[in-house]
Amino acid sequence: MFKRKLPLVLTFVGGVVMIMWFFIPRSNQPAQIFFTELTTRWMPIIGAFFLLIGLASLLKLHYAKIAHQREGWGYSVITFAGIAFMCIVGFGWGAKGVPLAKAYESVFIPLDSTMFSILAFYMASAAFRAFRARTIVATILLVTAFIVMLGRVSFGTSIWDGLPSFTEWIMTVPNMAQKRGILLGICLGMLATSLKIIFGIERSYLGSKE
Amino acid sequence: MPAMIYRLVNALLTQSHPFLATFQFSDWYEVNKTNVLIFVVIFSALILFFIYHAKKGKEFFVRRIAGLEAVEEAVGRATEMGKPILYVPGLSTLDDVATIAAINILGKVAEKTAESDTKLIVPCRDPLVMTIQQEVVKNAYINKGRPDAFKQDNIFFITDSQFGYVAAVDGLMVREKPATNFYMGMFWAESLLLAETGASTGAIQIAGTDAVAQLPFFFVACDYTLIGEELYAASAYLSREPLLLGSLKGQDYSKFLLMILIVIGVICATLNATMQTDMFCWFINLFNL
Amino acid sequence: MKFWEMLSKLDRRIIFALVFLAVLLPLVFKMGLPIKGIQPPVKAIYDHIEKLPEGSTVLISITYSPSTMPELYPMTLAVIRHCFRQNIKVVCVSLGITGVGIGEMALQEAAKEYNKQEGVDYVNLGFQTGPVTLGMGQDIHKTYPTDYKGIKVAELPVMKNVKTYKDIGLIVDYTASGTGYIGTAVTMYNANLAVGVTAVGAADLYPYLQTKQIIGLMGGLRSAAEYELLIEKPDKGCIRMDSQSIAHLLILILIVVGNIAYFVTRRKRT
Repeated sequence: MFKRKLPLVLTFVGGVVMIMWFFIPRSNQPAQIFFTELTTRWMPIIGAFFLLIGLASLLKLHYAKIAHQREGWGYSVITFAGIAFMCIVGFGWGAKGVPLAKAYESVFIPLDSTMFSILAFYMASAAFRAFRARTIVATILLVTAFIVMLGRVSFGTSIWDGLPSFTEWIMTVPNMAQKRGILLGICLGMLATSLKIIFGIERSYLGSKE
Repeated sequence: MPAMIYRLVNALLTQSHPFLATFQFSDWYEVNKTNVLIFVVIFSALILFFIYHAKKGKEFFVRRIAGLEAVEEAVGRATEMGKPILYVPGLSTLDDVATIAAINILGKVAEKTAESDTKLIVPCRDPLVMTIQQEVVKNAYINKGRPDAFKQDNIFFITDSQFGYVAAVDGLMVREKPATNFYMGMFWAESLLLAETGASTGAIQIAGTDAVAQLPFFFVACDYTLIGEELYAASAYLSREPLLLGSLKGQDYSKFLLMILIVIGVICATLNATMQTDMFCWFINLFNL
Repeated sequence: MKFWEMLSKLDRRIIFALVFLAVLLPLVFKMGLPIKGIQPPVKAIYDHIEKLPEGSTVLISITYSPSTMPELYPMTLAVIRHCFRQNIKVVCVSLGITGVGIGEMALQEAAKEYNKQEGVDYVNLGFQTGPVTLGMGQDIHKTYPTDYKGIKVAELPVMKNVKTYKDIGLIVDYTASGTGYIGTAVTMYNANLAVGVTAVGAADLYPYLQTKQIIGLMGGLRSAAEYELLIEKPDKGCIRMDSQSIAHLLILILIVVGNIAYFVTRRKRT
């Protein structure tokens, strides 16, 4: 009972306090400092604890893979090696040490960039597959995308001088109209979900009823 | 008008009790934000009003949402094929409402997988979200009388690096070849990387996000996509709980009210421009912060 | 007919190979395609910085990871260069741990060119956990007690008169998608905000431009190239635009070919 009720009370109090904060003037320094401290102090502490839980979950999963020699267990060994390497480098030379910076520049940056760059390939293949003039609506989508893409490239102006400004018009008028429509719906959805959580109507995020 | 109310309240407070003499109402309430307060109160009242009616037993109609209707079919397909279901709960943290919506939907999906004894894999980017999801899925399995089938290790943390997470989930899709992929919650640039890989493995894909810029990517690569608020409505739609459905109705009326205000605003702005007057500016100024 | 059928079901690997060539070749054989016209939201950022008095401060916020560096780094560098050219101080923060190195790289590169001194003309405050965009509205010195290198912020000349958003002429947030500054710095503290974002994320931010919650917007590589032209220092942004233009052209051709193949094969079927 207590396990279930306490989080609900905390959520309600937290929600109401955050709403109140929005309406307190910035000139009220003591109140602003109190609310800022309340949020800025708590979150890093909770975050640090949960990082440990995350790490434990990761290690447990990969340890089980290695122990049972499941398919692809070699990659789990690499995961352990990676964690060990970063720990040695981090603890040995410090967070601002050269080895960590080198690992960041030579390993993390290329790997991260590679994953993102795949997007260009996927975008081309998805555009080729999906942009077909099957219906009138699909044709409108196709033509609009075509114009916007042309307006965004260097040679767009060679075809027609007014193309970039026409593209800008598409982005700021029809595109924005639909976006605002969706955004208004989203905001109301957020408001409703937040209210349901604050008043304890939506409780599924609390997990087990035990 | 707000300034008048403010002066009145301030005068009452400062003169009624010696202790309150030091209390300055202006220190605790920003008058300029009164319009926000009024709108929040109206919208909240509408939503709570319909929740109250739902509690009293009134039934509400909800239009068909194809993406949510397909959840049943998607779980059934995975069961028939003997393959797992992959649920990606977005890449954001718990302070994002979309993540909470994704957790709510996960609970309903988990109930269905518990019934059909289908493996449910949930890779997480945030340890806090992971912990809550483990609880939610466990609860769903207990509700369906299958606590024995719940495997905590199937809901696991990968990394908080955005593309590191994507690489791992893409690898998971290629290796495990799930029959169904769910992408629910907040997504950024990785949306197409996930959805295209999923499409190449032949999985049924259902996505839902409030990240407007990512919607086109999900449209081209997924079978069903929940647009913005449909994601928030999913929990009510799948559970059919009257209280949750009531809040949906409240949202609809709030939206109707907004539509009326927008139309009046457009008329006022047009009249201002065509008649070259400031006569209708007061209405538009009501919405200034 | 078989040819069109084959085209309509073109293997994704062939598309990948074509994209690879379309990106690579213009980088190897520089084409120097012209970039005509400056978009108003880009010009707005330039004008705002031009109008800032000497000695004022611009806050550069790195909210992206290395993955989006090819698109966002050129515009980061261009704005920092512009600030240094105008003798404006630069304070850099990172909202993600992976952005710290990027900020440092950009500051060092621009500082060398304009002979600027660390701690006096610029500082990299690095990364802090928690809601920093909120904290900075109250007290930057409390939110970031030390800089990236561990030096006390209170002791840095560049930070002497910079306590809150009030002391900052402009915040430029570089992000892969949305910005967290609108809800806090702009709404709660009336700060001036400009955003540099990937092309794919730009569409999301246009509504804020019209409501004037952001004063300017740089969306994608084209905006970076335009900013480089505005400060008369064409660099990576302009070079990479060739690649982007050819890749766009390829996608346009693919869409046209795909549609022709679709109609030809559909007619055959009916």
